[in-house]
Amino acid sequence: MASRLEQQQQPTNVGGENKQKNMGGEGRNRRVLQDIGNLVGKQGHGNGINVSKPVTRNFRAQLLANAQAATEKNKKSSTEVNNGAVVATDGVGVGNFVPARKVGAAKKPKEEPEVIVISSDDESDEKQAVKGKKAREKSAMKNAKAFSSVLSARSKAACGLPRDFVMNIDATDMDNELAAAEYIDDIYKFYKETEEDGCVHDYMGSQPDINAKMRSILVDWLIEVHRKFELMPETLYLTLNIVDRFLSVKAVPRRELQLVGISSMLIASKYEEIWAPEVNDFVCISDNAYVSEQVLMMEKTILRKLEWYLTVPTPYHFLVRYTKASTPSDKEMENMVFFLAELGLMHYPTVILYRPSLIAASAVFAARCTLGRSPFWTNTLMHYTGYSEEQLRDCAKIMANLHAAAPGSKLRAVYKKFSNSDLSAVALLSPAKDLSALS
Amino acid sequence: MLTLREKYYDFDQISSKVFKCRRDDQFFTMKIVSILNEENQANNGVPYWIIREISILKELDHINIVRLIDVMTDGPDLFLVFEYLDNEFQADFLKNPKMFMYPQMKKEFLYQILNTVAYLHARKILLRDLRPENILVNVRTQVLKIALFGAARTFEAPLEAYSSSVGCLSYRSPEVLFQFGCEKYSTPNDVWAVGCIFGEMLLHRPLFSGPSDVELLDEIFTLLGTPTEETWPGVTSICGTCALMGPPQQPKDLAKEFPMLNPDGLDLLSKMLCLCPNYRISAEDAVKHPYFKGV
Repeated sequence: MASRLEQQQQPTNVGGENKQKNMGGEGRNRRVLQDIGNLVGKQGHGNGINVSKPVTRNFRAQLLANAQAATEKNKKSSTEVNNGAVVATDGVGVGNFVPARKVGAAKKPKEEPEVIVISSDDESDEKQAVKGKKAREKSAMKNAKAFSSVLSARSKAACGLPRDFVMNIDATDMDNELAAAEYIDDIYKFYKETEEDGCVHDYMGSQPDINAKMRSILVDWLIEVHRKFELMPETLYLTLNIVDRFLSVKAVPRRELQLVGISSMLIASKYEEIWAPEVNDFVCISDNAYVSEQVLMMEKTILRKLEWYLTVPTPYHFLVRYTKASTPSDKEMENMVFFLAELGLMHYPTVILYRPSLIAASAVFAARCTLGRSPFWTNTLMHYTGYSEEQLRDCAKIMANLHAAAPGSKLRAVYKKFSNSDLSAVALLSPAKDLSALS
Repeated sequence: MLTLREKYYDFDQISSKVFKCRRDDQFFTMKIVSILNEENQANNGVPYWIIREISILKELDHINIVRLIDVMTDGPDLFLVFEYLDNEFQADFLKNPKMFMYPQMKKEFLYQILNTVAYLHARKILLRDLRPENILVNVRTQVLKIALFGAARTFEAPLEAYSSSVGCLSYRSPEVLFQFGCEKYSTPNDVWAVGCIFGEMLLHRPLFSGPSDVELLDEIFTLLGTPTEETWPGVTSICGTCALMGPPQQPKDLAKEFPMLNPDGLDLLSKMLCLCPNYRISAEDAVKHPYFKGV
């Protein structure tokens, strides 16, 4: 018995050679569906108890007592705890199955709380579950989950993967100094803390001579210029960040909008590239609409207005990380993510409404939906992005709509760029039909 | 908007391009940078290294980094206003004879350098040109400041290819000298430079001083041994390095080369001067090394 317990407590073999078939129900008098749906989805429950240990009798009583107190405070809160294997995760690594002990009937508190239902393995206890049915129905309406997500979670559990399994995406980089693995968590913590600095408010109201459509035309052209100069992707994202931040602090006449664009790309290139294009290159590519002195003057104006703040997190920083958390070394996926992100950057409301990390996470979510990568949002992605599927749905829906509209749009730089076979021709793939129906 | 003369006054020249100035009751150091080239033309605008230095310094707030207060433009010149460091702060800190009076002081300063490098790396900044000339110390208060971020740049992980012609030759890591992995290098490059500074603190002379890449590599291998596939996986597959590596050499005994170091110190030095960048200690781990117990 002891050896069996030890065996059960070993981390689940994920992606290993000798995968054992699911032995979940073996030796237990339990129906299949109950067996594979026995994982607690969330570690932290509404009542403040961290369920990451076996549900013992004392622990159950504690749960009930706390729930009772919580109910008196707030009748609306609703939590359901299933008896069985509770997954204990260590935050980043592999979730360990902790076998739960059989739970005897605890003394009923005076007032039966509707919020917590602990079902035992016995069939007879199903009657007890009916008592909490109304509460469950209420909470089910609130936290409605599509059937497909429940099934995918259960099938994952059936395959021996805990539902809240989180893959360590940096594990393979520990011996690669170029990955800067020992600093990566600090770096992204820093990005998240400082991303507000790079965000822009809705500035079109203070721009008498330009509008969102003109901005889109400029961005479309800058994407073409960026491609022609064969610049690094981060240069494009920084360019657009500079453009938006500058336009949010200074009114620009229509005739100077393109000048702002090329001057921003000049600054971004100097910041990011090893060999930046020269001023004359930008003058030529804008068909001599401006002279070099104007570009140099605008460069200084932009730097002064932005107070030289260029070390800001852009969606690019997050895209790299989140793509890795999605599916490492999947070129099609990577290209789809960048395609959707660039469509999002062309769309003024997206840039204004959502912060860089959310734009990046939404692009990954929308890309997974588009390419049919199931499940559409994993615990690994949730862990590394800090966003739930629900938080990304609106932004991802916008991206899917932009993808659907791209072939017929007059602004075709992004579509043309990602129709190319060297970028997996992802623009030619069918967009995610209706993101709201997917989950 | 206030002009330069309205904002700052009482200019006092320290060197050709550096002034001491005042604003209210505070003193500042002002550095003048011209954006004109040799032909007196601003044909490419603000130099890339200025853009990087200023934008990086604007982000940093650390006791061991010289703080940038303000940036002003006036015609073709940029005026960088830094916190004022009094005369007690000596540049090129290893030339200060008082530096070597107390062994504990060296340890204290090494700790401060590593702590600063770890702070920068956690903010995705590579220093790339760390050398004694860029480090100022106040021996009395035992405070150290790193200045000059002209060669610094932010990095993405995994790293892109960056220019390999950066940093003072004596403090360049073997992977940069090799142009290992197509000019890709990372945070270990800065740790190597700190290791060289550590060695210099102890020996009172530069640890490596070869006048060219090849001669410098030869000096490095004379002390640390020629790398092998075992000590540096992938080293033999680097294009053209066989000629650079010269005849195989055995590593010297660091305990004999640095008799003044205790075992913890020797362990830290050897980990900072590890030839393979993948195996080299990180600044973050170096700060936690037992050598710094009691600092």
